[in-house]
Amino acid sequence: MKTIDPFNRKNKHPFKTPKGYFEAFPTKMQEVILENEVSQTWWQRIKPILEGRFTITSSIAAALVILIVQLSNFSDQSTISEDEAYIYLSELSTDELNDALLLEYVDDLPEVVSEPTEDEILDYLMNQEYIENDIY
Amino acid sequence: MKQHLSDKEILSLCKESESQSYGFNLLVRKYQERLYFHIRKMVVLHDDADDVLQQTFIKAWKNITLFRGDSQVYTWLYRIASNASIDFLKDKKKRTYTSIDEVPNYYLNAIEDDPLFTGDEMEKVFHKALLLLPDKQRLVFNLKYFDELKYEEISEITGTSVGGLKASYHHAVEKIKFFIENN
Repeated sequence: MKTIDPFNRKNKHPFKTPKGYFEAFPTKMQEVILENEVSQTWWQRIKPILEGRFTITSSIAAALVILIVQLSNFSDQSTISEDEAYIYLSELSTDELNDALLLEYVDDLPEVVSEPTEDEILDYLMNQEYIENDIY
Repeated sequence: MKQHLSDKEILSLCKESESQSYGFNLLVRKYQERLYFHIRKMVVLHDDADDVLQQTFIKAWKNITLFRGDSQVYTWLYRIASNASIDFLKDKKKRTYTSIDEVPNYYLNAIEDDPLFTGDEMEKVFHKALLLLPDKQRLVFNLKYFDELKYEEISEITGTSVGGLKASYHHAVEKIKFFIENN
């Protein structure tokens, strides 16, 4: 569908070109491109390729940075010297040490906690009541 | 025979290294006139239009292998040409004029003296009115009025919403009518 011309102009293109311009332009353009190719640096050559793949490149770079940081943290943790370990253990209280040892073997512990009996619950609540009354 | 190749066929020639130059030459031949007049209406002078047309095709050449065909070839080329024209005008304004107020007068005089402008007095007034529009509004007006593109196509070229384009075109028409009535 033709656009409705709000100005009703007869001559829409009053601009003209020098004679033979469009006949000569494609050849001129080929020469310009050739000159441009020769004068291009290696960076200008790879830039459009890199720009086209910017998202992928930046994602890979981000993933690599995260991986390197994770690996460096991991290697830091795994390189505790014997002296450092001795100092750490000597500073632990007996309870802390017990807890630490218990946690080491927690998977091997038998299930010792059984359901409390009714008497045990009543005893517990009585004692609890006693303690609360004592306080207030 | 070569004029009858479709855009798709020309594009596949451009993407093969052995036929790249030949394919691109066909692309230049097919679109040089449309793009030239689109650019010429923006930059007014023939020499400037010639420079911008060359820049347009250089950019197209550099990126042709990355063109995925999501849009039509001509909207892609129009987009490159439009951006190149706007950049050229910005750059020229910085380099040539001491004051922004000088810009319309420069182009108005250029139309008066240009032997390659063949319009009558009424057309001179019409084109002078166009030159008073901001560059981007003039671009939208030209694409709609002269190139008769659909708003959807202009939206692809300019990256502006269809609603925004309709409003811009309507305002441009009002401004031009006002100028013509008062001159």
